[in-house]
Amino acid sequence: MLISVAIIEDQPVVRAHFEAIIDADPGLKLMGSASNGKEGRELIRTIEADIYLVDLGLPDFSGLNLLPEIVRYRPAANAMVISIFDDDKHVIAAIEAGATGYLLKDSDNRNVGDALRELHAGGSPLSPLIAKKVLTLFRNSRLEQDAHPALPAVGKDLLTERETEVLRQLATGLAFREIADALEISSHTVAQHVRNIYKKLAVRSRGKAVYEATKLGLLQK
Amino acid sequence: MRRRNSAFCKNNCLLNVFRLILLLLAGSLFVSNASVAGVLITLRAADYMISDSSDLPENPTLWRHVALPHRSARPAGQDLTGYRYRLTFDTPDASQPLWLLFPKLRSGGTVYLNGLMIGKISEADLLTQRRWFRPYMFLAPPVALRTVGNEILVHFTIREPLTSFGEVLVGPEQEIRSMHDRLLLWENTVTEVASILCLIVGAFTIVIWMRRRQEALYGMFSVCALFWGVRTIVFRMPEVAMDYWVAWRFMYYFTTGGFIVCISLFMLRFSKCVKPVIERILLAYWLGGCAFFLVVGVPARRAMDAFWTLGFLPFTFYSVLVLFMYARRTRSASAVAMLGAVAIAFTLALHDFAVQHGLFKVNEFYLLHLGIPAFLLVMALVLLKRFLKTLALADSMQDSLVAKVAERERELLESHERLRKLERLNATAEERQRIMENLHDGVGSQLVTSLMLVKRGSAGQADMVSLLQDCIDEMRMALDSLSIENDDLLPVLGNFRTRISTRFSAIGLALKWVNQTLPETIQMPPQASLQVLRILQESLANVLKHARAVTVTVTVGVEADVLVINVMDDGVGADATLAAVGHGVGNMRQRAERIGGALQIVAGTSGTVVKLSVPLTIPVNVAAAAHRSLRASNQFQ
Repeated sequence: MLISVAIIEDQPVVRAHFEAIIDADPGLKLMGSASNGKEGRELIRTIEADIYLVDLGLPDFSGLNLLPEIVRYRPAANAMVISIFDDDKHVIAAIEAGATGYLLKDSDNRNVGDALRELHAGGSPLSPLIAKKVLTLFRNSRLEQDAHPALPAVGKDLLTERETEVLRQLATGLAFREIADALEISSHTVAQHVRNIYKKLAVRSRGKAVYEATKLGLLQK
Repeated sequence: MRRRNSAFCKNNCLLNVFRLILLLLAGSLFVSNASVAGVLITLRAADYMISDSSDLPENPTLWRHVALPHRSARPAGQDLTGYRYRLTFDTPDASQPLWLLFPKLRSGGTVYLNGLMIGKISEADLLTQRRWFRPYMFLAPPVALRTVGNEILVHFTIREPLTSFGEVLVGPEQEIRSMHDRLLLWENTVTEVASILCLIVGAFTIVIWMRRRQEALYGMFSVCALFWGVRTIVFRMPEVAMDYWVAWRFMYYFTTGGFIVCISLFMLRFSKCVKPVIERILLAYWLGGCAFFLVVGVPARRAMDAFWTLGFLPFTFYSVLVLFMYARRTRSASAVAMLGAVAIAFTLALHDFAVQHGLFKVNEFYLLHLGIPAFLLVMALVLLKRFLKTLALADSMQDSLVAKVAERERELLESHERLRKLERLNATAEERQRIMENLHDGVGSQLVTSLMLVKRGSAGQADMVSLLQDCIDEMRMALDSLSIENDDLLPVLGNFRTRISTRFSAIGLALKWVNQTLPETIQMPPQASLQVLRILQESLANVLKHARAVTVTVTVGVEADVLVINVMDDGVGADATLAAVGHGVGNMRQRAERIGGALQIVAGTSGTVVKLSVPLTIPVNVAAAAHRSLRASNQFQ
């Protein structure tokens, strides 16, 4: 079964690079491309794909704004962010906005295909540094939760023991497979945990947004 | 607020002093106005004669008619002289008892009414001097009374230089008693209370002065009060045995003169006039006079009373004048009040002098001992004001001290804040410096090398890819390790591992990464992390390029606070490798040393082990030295 992919990327060279990789891969199918945010929005609404590759640095607006639209219009699809560096700030912002994976621009051709297939299969990447950062975020959430019991949504979506353990292992630099061995679970389960962590990050950010809005009086309780 | 309060109190106190003085004056006026009371008869004239015989002499020519009060010099030559005074009065109703009031019966004596003795107060005799500073009243019983021509006869003996016989009042008991009581109160009780008060206040002040010797005014005031208290008590002793008379009189002169001296000095000192010569003369005059009397004894009395006492006047006048000038110059309330008190006391003293010497026919009531306590009161208030001023000064000093401390505290806080700001700036500058150094050291040199190779044309496409990949790797390492929040080496190593694994698997080389016993985090400063990554990168690159290995094993472990990373390959061995990468190994070793670590290369016939060990508790000075050497080495590049 082919995995359909759409690309939203403004730099022609990079766009062409990814288009070429997808075209060359027999398991992948290119559905369409967009070179700015406006076109990207149109693309999301008109073209159905399994994976949307989204560049964050679009000329008209940030690719982050497109991620919620993918979640909304294409709930079955995966949004994958294309980034130059996997620095934690950008990646976490993307995950919070609804991305389920990220791809480095300098990845090898073969790795791009693997990454897309893995994502489609439910596996999201999570580098040690980002795992560490996510751990810190949720630890702070717990502290906030303790300090303000009125905090909505955030509380009930705190990480489970197992998820925390997975994150902790990831942060020490272990691969999914090694974690699976250490915790005596399957690699697939580890991937599932990571996907859940992605979701909780997104939910957490939305809950936090609602809470902040309520505090500011923008929303009625 | 405090100032206003004290000013208010001061004014109030001064007001009370003047009220008291007015009251005293009113009291003395009241005495002289006694005759207006309608029911009382005041006898203002008498006959008197000098007679030592206890029997009444028959010679009527000896009687002399005089107005009362009567004072006249006693004939000289005798120790004691007997006097008789005869007064007459009429009464409309002789059946009612009457009372006789002697406002002063200074010398005591025996009182007869129409030949009937109605009272006897002991008088001076050869062994004792007796003087009574109080009124006396006697009953005139109806049995001795007649309507017309009642005769009062008083017979007494005196030793004083002047005889003294005052008016006599006749009237019903109620009026006489009430007047008697009032006179007793003023002449006796008040004076006694005043002198005791002087002693208490004097003693109290002298204790204060002993604690604060620098306040000479306190000392003078206390001596004044004590002298005056003692003087009044001594002067008013009703009975003095003749054996001790000289001592008694000496005490009187000593205390009276001492008081005058002290009060003059007080006025001078208060007016900030320090004249040691005048002060010494004054003291000498006082003590010399007293000594003279002590030596000469009784015969010196007249001279002492008439001249020695007057001798103080110039000094007193001078002091008052100085005080007056001072009051005029400063116009301070205390100086003016003191001047007023001096004026009153002076008036009273003149009055008493006149009384003592029988001038102006005034009644023999001494007022100075009432006026002086008032004057002392003013002095006390003046001192109190000084005392309060000192207290206020101390308070304000304390206030300003508190304010100063608060200010210092604020300054300290500010400078602390400045220091912290400076530290932050410094930290930022250091951070910036570090990033610059890393750009220069890492990506910069990498790009320059790549550019040179490309320019030379010796780089093929594969080389170009490799060169650029190296640049990007270098940049990633810097980003991973230098991110401000990452002081944990483990995720940095993890990221490195993920990246390098892909690379290795792409070229079909197996990378085994083994995390041995590891803590949850490995705290390490970012620049040290970066050095660790560079060493790892370099040694793995060496394996890739030169070792011709099949498997590379990286083990990461922490033993006894030392991070140990081993890179083992199963390649051609170190000899060949080292020969190829001599310069690279030197670099790696230097990097390890910069962060206080060590690099060991164990070469076998098959494969090489590169062992990096870094102590995790890097002493501060080593870290600083590492930073310095990092900078120094960069300057040569």
